[in-house]
Amino acid sequence: MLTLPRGALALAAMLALACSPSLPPVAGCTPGAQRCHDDAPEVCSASQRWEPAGTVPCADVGGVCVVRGAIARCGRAPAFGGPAAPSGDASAPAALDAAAAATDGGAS
Amino acid sequence: MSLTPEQAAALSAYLFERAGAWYLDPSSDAVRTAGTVLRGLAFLAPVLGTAAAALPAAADVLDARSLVLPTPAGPLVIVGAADRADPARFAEAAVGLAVTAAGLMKVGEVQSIKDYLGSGELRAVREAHVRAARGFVRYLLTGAAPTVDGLVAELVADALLPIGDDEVKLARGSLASAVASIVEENLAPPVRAALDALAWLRQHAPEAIVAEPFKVGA
Repeated sequence: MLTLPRGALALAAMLALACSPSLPPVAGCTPGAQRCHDDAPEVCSASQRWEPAGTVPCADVGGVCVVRGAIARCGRAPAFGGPAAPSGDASAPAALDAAAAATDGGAS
Repeated sequence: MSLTPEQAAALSAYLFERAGAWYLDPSSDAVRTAGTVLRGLAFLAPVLGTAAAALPAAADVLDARSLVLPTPAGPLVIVGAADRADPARFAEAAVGLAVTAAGLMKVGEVQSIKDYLGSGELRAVREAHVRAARGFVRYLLTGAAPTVDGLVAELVADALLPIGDDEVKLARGSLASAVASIVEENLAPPVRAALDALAWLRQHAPEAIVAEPFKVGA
């Protein structure tokens, strides 16, 4: 395990105190819940913030964000004429907890 | 056919360039000289006090651990000797370092440091993105499909700073999403450096991709 020099820790502490981390806003979601938002999977943190499960939208990997089995992920887009993919926040399956779906509007 | 050392080096250079980072090879004269100087300066301990004690440790870090360091000229990537032991490991480490470097570039070096040191939550998010990308590239090159438990264990073991229980749960959720994308959906995880690695491998070393769903034409 890397041991940081004492001076580096002091500098880090000063930096940390000087400004705030760039956390997303508190959304009131249920910790552990997952959703799709702007075509990207997100996970609810213990502080009830939606955190991104990636750095780009699912379209960039050739998919679309879907929630299956309570896990938001990038999935294959449905074939034309096939069943609609549960890609939106409100259309997530029941496995996605209701509290998370209800807070989507204020979560971004 | 396995990834060659030359291909691993070219892939790494490409990933670092895409992430806006610059790169020093630890075997280069510059880094070896820096390590020698750092160790040599230990004799100044009586003058410099405790700060000098860190110098040999810093030199050892150059040997043992891969790092992304914020600099005024952009993120500096140093790939440790252990991560260059074989081409697949080199590629895997490089994609993880590229994720970190891209994060530095996105929010700025000072903000990125504040995020990493000041928030266990953001630390967990960033580390999960790194692990998702690394697990994906390992899968591409070795065929070993990533598992959530395996990636979480690696995350906890390798994080630069400790990650608390709540943050591990958050990382687990993020990695469950990534593993589902990779293993169940046969798609890359939504992490830019992972996509860059896949694109490069498909174009320049398609024979090195052993994960069936991601082979060219699959």
